[in-house]
Parts: sequence; structure tokens; C-alpha cells
Amino acid sequence: MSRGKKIIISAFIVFNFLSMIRVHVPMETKLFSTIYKPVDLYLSFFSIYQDWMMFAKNPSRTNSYLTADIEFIDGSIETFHFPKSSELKHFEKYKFGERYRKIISEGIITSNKKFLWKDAARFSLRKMKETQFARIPKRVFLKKHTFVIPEWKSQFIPHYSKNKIYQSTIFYTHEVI
Amino acid sequence: MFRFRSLLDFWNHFFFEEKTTEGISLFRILWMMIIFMHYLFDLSNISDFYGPHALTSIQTVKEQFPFFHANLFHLSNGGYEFTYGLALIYGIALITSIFGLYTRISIITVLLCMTSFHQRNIWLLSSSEVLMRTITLLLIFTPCGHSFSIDSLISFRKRKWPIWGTRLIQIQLSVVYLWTAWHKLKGDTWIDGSAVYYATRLEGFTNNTLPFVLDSILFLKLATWGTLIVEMALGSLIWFSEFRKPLIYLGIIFHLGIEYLMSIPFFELYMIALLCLFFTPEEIRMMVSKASSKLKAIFQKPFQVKVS
Repeated sequence: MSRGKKIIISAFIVFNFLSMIRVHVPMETKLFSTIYKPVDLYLSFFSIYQDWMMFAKNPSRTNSYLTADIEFIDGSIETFHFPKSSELKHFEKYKFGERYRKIISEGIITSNKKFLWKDAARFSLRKMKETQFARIPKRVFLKKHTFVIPEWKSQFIPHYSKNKIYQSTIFYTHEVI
Repeated sequence: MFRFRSLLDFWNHFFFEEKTTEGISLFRILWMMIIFMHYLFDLSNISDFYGPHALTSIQTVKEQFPFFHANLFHLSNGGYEFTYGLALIYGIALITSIFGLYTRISIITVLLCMTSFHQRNIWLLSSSEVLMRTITLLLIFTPCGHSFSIDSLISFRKRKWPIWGTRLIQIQLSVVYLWTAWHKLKGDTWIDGSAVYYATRLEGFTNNTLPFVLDSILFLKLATWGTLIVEMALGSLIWFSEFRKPLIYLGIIFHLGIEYLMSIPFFELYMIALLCLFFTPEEIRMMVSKASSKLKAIFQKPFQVKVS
């Protein structure tokens, strides 16, 4: 391999090292922010910012799921249950369970992703319409259900235990008409 | 001066030594097969996650990510024709990548389609998908179509190639382990031994159970600290020949254990595939020949018919 080729490849290797540690580099200094301009372009183009914080610094301690209460113009209410990973079969978990878990627990029910609320409400309406196609909805209430795992020293929960008491809160109301 | 020279020699040897392309080619097949499996699972989700009536609308995605990035959905209104069309191209590119037909172009197509689907609804995704994109991108720069491929049958491909592309993927794997271990060391539950307890009590992640074992405080503590030790070893000691092979096997057992207990779809499979990249081409050749001779022995065995 020619020397020129080796230099170009070596530069690419260094560029990749820089991209692997990007998330952890402090961007306050001008030097770093200049160096990282092209790296950021590369990372955001392919969306490959990597922090690898699986269960770190600490695993989450909140179990959560989401429902949508749909009120119809006749005053009746039906509940749409977004898929809850823990209640799905293995195959379904693999297919879509984890994806719903992720978007619900780290997206929709969090206050910093409010932009997802309207879409989630509309999605529940569409799903409800598949079975309740003749009824006219008036509004949708998105309700989060959370259970915080207590300190293990104060209350030890056996693995696979199902009897947990969830707290429910309506966090968004979507007016249909 | 001497030190700089030896550093340069090390760099040259580490990244530019020519090795056979069998290892990385087998990795291509394994990697793309897992992605293909992932893809097949995801096909039934098109309506709920990627189509015009998906959980998140195309407008929301466009508003949240207005900058220039690899998302072909930005070129369309996100209708079903476009979504299924892209899924079809993605599937074909995955198959041609597995068989090694126009390998580099196929992998680039896979990456573009994959990134587009991921960006269409990025809030659904976790570490598995980041790993998919990162490694597939690096795979483009490797000679992974030079062996075990249709490309190598229809035209001459060099069987020895500088190893830098493979090294980048291996380094990426080390970075995954080292970063995650580093972050965990900053958390109090990983230090006091309770992290595995909390992680296994998250209902969304539960898969199977181990009666009594997962309720034993001693086991939970050992599993917590063991995770830290294994992750640190896999990120560092795997580079030393004395530890490499035992660590690959330990890593595979570690990931299979997580796969059994926790529902983190495909992540463990991707990590196992990446660990296999640490086998040397000679070891791979030996494994392939052992496997093929065993298969031959099975198929060449004459059928015995018992007559009473």
C-alpha cells in the first residue's frame, strides 16, 4: 500500500476514534468544538451518536405503561391500551414490545417530549376506530401508569412478581371536536 | 525519536498488516443475517411505526430533525407506496449483502434504508439500532465481499487485505464495553451490588426467570459486580492473546444469559456476532472445516433399517 493511501486511511481511523468518544468530550473549549465540527456532521448524518449508557449510571427504577381514555360524544368512555411489553408473548416482545416500551417510558410519558403527545392521542383514536368505527370521539385523555421500585432493603420484590400498585395520572387531553 | 518510530511500527502492524478476508466475510454473512431477521420481524410493524398512520407522524419527525441527514423519508410524504417500496429495496439489499453480490453497493443501500427507517421513528429505538448503524457503516470500508461471496466467484478478489477496517469494528466493540462499564462505575447501585436487582424488576425487560436464583441477594450482588468485571475485561483484555479466546467464550455466555433473562431484542445477538470477529482467520477456518466435516458425516451416514 502506498504511503499516501496509508496517511489517508490513518486520518480516517483517527476521525473514527474521535467519533466514538464524541458524546463524552466537553464541547466548551474552542479547540474541541472546531475539531468536532466535521465529526458532528458525520455523526448526525448517520445518526450514530453513541453513549452506550445501557442501565447506567443506574438502571431505571420506574415501571410504566400508557393508556388512552377516549370520550365519545354520547358521554361514554372506552380505554385503549398501548401494548405493554410485560404482558406480551416472547415473539411479540421481539416484534414490537420493546419498541413500545422505549417510546412510552422514555418518550411519550416524559415532559421533555411533549411533541409526541398529540401523535400518540391520534394514534389511539385510529386504533379505537378499527373496532368502534360508528362512534364519534370527543376527546382523548392520555394516562400514564407508573410504579417506582422501592429500595431493595425496605421492600424486596420477588422476580416476576405481578402484584404492583401503579399510580395513574392524566397528563394530556386532546380535543377532537 | 526511537519511541515515535516504534509507535509508528506498531500502528503499521496493527492497522495495515495484511490478513485473509475470510473472517470479515463470514462476519458480513452473520451480521447481515441478524439484520435480516430483525427486518423480517419489523415488516409487520410498518403500519404502526413507519407508515402514514404511524405512532409518530412524518410532520413531527420533519419538525424535530430539520437538518440534512440520511433519511429518505424526507424526500417523500411518507405514504404507504414509498414506505413499502423502501422496505422492499432494504430486503433485497440485505439478501444481496448476505450472498455477497455487489457487496459494497448492497451494504451502502442497506445502510441508507436502515438509517431512513430508524430516523422515521427514532424514539422507538435503543442501543441495538445504534450498533446496527455504526457497524454497518464501518463494514462498508472492509473487504467483506472478497470471500464467501458471489462477487468473489464471478471476478478475482484479493484474498489478503490490510486489516484496518476489521480493527475499527473491533475497537468499536471495545468502546461499547468500556464506555458502559465506565458509566456504571459512576452509579451507586453498581457499586453497592443492587443494580441487577433493579434491572430485573423492570417489567418491560423481563423475559424468563430463574427460580430462587434471581431472588438471592448474594447472586444479585455477584451478578452486578460480575457484569462490571466482564464488561471491563471484554473491552480491554480481549486484545491480549492469552485472554482472547476464553474471553470470547465468556462474552458469549454472558450475552446468552442476558438474552435468556431480559428482553432486549437482537442486542445480544449483535454483540455475540461482534465477539466472533475476534477469532483469528485460522481459528475460523478450523471451525468451518470441523463443522463441514461433521455435516458431511451426518449426511453420509447410511440409513439403517431394522427388520424384526
